[in-house]
Amino acid sequence: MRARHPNKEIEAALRDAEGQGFTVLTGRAHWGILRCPGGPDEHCQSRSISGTPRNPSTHARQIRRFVTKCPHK
Amino acid sequence: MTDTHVFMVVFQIADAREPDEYAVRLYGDGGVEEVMLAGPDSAGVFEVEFERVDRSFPAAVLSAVRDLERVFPEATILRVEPDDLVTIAAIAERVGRSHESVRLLVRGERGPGGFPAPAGKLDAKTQAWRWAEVAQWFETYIGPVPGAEHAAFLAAVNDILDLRRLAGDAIDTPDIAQAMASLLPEQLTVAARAAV
Repeated sequence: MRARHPNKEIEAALRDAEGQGFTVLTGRAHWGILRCPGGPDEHCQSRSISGTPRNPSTHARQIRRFVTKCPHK
Repeated sequence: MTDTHVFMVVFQIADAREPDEYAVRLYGDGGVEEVMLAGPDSAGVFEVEFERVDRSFPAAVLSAVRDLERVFPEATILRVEPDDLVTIAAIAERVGRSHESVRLLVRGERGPGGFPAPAGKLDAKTQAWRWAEVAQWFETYIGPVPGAEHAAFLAAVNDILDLRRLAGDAIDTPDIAQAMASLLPEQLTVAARAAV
């Protein structure tokens, strides 16, 4: 089990991403990294997830936009 | 009047391999709001997605570039996306048509013909067009294209970013510098003089 994101809205967006094959890596200084399901040759650039974004709704929306646009899922 | 503007700024820090240090600077105190950092790839290229409230799209983009330069003075800003060069697939996505429909328009087998000439090739099979020209063609012959009103501005900003990156190698004497400066549009030379 990975660490939960302190913000509910962001945690929900991350869980939906995981449900579509994305990986969340935690324990980073800024909080974590969201990796797309693509292989080593073709993948989207991983997103750095902030633990304390000033506007959590925007951050959650950006996560969902990333997941929607990713062609590798 | 203010609106929310969504766009991406691409920059490079050649020796960056892990995002952590850069994410801390971007998200921490003195950083930038309403952004998400992506990357770096193996060449140290990052993308930052902005969702910025400002009075206009150009104002939002230009203040975003300034903010990134403040937080990452070591970075080279490469471009702002949605970028100017587009493939048939990207055109199809932006105008909301199928790949095949755009292919037929490009070849003049459907629609009024006179599609803009490609700007070049990305590889042996993939041609690319300038989005500013394609968007204008669509607006003239087919109908409104969402977001197309910014195409000319984005093309101009990206050309300036290219110019900044290449000036050091391309301009080696004051004569050349002066001759090249005389090619700049008058709005820019007047504004540059006022800024000094």
